[in-house]
Amino acid sequence: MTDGANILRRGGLFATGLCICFAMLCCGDVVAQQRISPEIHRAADCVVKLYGPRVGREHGYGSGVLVSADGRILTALSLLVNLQGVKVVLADGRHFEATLERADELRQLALLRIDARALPFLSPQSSSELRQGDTVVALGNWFKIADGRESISVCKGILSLRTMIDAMRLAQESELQGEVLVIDALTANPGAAGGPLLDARGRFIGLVGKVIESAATNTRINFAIPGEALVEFLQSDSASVLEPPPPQTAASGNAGRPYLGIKLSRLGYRQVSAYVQRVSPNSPAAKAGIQADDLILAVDGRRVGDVATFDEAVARLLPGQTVQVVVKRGPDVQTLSLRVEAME
Amino acid sequence: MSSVISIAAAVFVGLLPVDQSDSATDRARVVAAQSARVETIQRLVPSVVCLFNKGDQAGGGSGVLIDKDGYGLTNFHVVAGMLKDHQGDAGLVGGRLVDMEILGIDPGGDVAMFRIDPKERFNPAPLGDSNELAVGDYTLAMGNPFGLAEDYAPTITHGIISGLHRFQAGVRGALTYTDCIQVDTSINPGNSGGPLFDMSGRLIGINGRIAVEERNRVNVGVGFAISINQVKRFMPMLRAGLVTPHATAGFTVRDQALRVLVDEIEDRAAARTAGLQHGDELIRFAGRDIHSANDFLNILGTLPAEWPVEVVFRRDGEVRRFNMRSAAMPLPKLTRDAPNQPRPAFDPYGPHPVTTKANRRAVRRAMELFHKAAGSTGVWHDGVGLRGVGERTPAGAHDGKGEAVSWRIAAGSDESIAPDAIPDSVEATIWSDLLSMKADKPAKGLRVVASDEVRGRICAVIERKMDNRPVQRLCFDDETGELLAVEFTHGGTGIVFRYEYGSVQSVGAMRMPRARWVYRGETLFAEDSFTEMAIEAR
Amino acid sequence: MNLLVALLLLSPLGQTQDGSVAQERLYEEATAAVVRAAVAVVSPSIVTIETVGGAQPVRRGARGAVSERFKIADGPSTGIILSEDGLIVTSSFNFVREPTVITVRLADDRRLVATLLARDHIRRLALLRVEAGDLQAATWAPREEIVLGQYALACGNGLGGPQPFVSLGIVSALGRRNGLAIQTDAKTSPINYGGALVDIDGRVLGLIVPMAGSGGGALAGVDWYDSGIGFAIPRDRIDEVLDRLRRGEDIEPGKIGIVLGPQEPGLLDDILDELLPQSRGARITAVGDPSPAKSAGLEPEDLIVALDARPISDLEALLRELSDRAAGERVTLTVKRRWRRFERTITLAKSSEIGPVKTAAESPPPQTDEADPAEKEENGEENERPPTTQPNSN
Repeated sequence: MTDGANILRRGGLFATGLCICFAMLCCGDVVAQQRISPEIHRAADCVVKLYGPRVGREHGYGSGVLVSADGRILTALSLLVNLQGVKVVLADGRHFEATLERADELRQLALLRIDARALPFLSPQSSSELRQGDTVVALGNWFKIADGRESISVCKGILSLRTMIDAMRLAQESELQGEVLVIDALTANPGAAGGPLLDARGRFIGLVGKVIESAATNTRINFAIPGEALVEFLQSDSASVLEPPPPQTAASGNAGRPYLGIKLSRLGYRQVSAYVQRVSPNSPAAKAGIQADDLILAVDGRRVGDVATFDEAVARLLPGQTVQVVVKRGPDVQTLSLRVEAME
Repeated sequence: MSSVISIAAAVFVGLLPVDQSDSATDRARVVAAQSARVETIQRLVPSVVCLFNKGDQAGGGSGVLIDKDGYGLTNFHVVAGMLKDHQGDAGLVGGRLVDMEILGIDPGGDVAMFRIDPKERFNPAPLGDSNELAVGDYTLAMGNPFGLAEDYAPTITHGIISGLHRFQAGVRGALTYTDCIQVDTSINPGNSGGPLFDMSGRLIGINGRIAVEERNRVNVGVGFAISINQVKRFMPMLRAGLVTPHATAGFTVRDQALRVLVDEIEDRAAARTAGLQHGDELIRFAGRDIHSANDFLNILGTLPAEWPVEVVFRRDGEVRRFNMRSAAMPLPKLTRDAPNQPRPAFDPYGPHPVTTKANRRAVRRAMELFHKAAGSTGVWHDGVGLRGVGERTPAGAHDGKGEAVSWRIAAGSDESIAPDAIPDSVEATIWSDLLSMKADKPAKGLRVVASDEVRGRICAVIERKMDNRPVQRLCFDDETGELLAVEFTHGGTGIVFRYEYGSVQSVGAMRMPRARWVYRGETLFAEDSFTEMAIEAR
Repeated sequence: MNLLVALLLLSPLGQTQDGSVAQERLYEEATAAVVRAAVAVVSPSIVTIETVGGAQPVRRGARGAVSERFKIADGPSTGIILSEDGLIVTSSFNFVREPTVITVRLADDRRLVATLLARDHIRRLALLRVEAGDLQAATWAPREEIVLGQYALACGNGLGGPQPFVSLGIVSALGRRNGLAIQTDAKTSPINYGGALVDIDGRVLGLIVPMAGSGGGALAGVDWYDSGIGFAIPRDRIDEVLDRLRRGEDIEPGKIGIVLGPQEPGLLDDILDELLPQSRGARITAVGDPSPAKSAGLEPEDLIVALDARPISDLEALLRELSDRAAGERVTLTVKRRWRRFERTITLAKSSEIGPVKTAAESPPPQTDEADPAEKEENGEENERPPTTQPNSN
């Protein structure tokens, strides 16, 4: 064998050895022990376990997050926190009794207070940098598995989607409004609500929401209230339950009821599709080009499935607004532009 | 092929600058992790079995093979319906259905051991160490949820450890899960008895329970697995076909602020004899720091009856400790709920031909491993002997001065030793008997009776009953076969002597302990250290 | 050797705690980026299906309508573009309400009216057609390249689209339901039924459908949503029925036309069991008229012991074997009648072709298993097949 071939052979062996060494370093580390980061451990110290009486179908226990060193706790608004004597257990096992300081029906948040000092706490941050696919970690005491100072439960997933959801809670329409973070982790369990949602670096970017079912699918939705809503809530200083915001008034002042000029076929019972029976002449609908026998599919981005949802969608409109109306006409689907007027 | 790909990908990844991130780099990293996982799964799948009642493929659960001889682990509740004749069926990956025997059962802890006849070679999954686990670690669960496997190919799921040292109460003393592992890895009915692996492919738990809620019996992100460290303590007994009772401490504790206080102590409890009192603050139990009553219940639930435990407590500011053996908790009653159901005609805890054979097989296995560990096969035969000399330090000797001690083990000695001969001689005879004993034909009267822990190592306790001689107890390391301890009653005085061994080193072709601790009754009598040892022809 | 040492020292992969945390972060960020890239690849080929009209389906029992436990919502659902000339494949689950109008919204927000061509009730598929010529068809991964444990991303528009909802899991099993489906632990639910299960390169591994262990009606498998048990039909199993679906031909589960009962072995049977180990089977208690079973001369108390030479041990085993056979397929049954054994080859029929239907339904819901004993217990309903007695002849 020539010298050259010898060197090549030895070089090959060396390279293989190098490969194997790297493989052991790489694969071993990447795969074997993907430990949870220290930031998440630190965050776990700020999670509290909440306990109260069972009321109706509420389970009587939940989770919360310390948001100040002097004992303010952020949690999900529920019957649990509205009652007297919610018990709070810290990560180190100490017990306290909490009082309700503030609540927000719209964002479904509540702020509790315990009498303590120098506690570890988390500050919520905006979730705007969180993108689909990013790792998220949820902490909480679902099924009240952990007692006393036992460690809070952890689950992991990714951000599935940032979206608005129409939600049902316990077969009733939920008051939930605004965009939520839908996550790929099973947080729709009793006791999970009020726990923090963290990103991969342990930043507090959401609060796990209550168990609700999406009206779109009748299945449970795993979601969190985004960090920016938490920040807003903590920064607002109203001292009582917030009223829903007053209906928006159009810039031009007169806030009359919206008028479109569409008469739908109604046969006297629910669940009828929104077919147009008649369009009033010179009405906003007529000007937009809507015709009789059109099937309304969406108004201003809201899907219209039947007469009832059409009425709901129209009720949210404001005179002066220009909205897109999607209709099916024969084999085609058209999107028409309609300027809402006010009812005389 | 995939391993070459993964190594190549790993090399590529390894050579990348740390902070560079573009789509090719990202994909390479993800492919590397994916390939490693794919390969780990391929390696593990042959160990996973689907378990069924004999002749009935409906329902059933899962199990995992843990060694080349076909021994496997599952949940007790998976095989509870097969205890009449201890037979079932096991489906192996590839579609083969084979006979399965149920060996020992642990109804309190919900574990059982089974055995199949492995006709094909495979590499069983090594056992991991559940004390090394951390929340957030990724895991793989494998099994047969909802009986979906048509060709016994298991379902593989992937998730993280959500919590450790969890307590899940059982039902009437059975199926209590203490110190268990909580995962968000998807586990559903049918996964019971199947393995939980870490990403290196080590068995870290046996899946058995899930939290269920309003959504029927379907996974909602919370599964529980029995930790492998708990199972390891019971394995020597399960392998031998025994029914294993759990430990009871003989006292209860209660939480008081952040302290744990001893509450009630049973009259005859070893703890009372040792001096424990109501109101003492429990600090440590069986090696676990105790911060709550749950901590205590957790560690207690992982121990077999008569397990040796160290108890550390505080009284009046002073820390004290003692050792004791836990007592046995009664086995759970397996009565049926429905009033009109006939009582089973057989005793599920009773002896059975399968379990008697299992015990003998376990004895043979222990002897084989013993000979392997001692290196005696082919080396120890008629005409040789072992001679060791060293120093014996009596317990409590403060001046460090010892006396000379020698250890003489003769081969093939048929001499019947008198029951009241000095303990050292009795001990030497025991070694001699064992070294001369044929592994495949061990002496009659040898039976596995318990598990034990000797100096931190789990062992099988084999009792030897002989005519005209007191019973001997031999403790063999369940994994390596080393003889860790021998125990016998001295005929003359009636005192129980116990010899424990350590510091195994080579002696010619053999390997023998150089350190020996001699216990007289409950107390340490002396410590021997053999500086010279040799195998000689006599 | 020095070079090796130097390289190892310079290696960014430290074994320290910080090192492994940094490693994990890199890995997670890489995974997130890969997920986003895969979604970007497949989204142009995923559509949002919106329906109007239709109603919660009811099952017909002998005592009247029985409503399903799971209430089907009428929110948007998902489909995959199969061909650029307008074929869209989705799950039959999305049309259980039998809607009157179906529209499809593309990733670029265009809305098109869709026609439902046909449904495959075994694979739980539905085929739609839209009028378009420039759609972006999805790329599918070849089945032989799918491996156990690889990443699988479930994408669906059930929460509104066009940005799909994504769930990350792995491939849990390669062949379930006689190889019809691959299994995943990614979360599957009405949010993504009809959507795409894709690999890290955005190639479709399979169409996500609800599925139960065997057989089942229109809603079978929905109660396993989000449980970590999800199914997807790979392209090769779609292709084998694509032509028929395109022609408007529904594929329905094949039925023999018999009522099955639990086996109640008598003393004689026990003895026979000892002598003839294969005397276990699925026991016929009644035969529909007309039906393939009737034409083949099967009678009550006959025992079906094998189907296409595969032994049948009991009722469940027969249902499992049948659950993936379609109407129109021929199967050979091995039957045991007292001490005789014989074979009969029959052509499986649709439910609608079997026996006189007792109650006239507007749209007969797809039948569940024949004589599912659990169903019987649950609703206390009698079976619809009229029991007939046959003279004692073959």
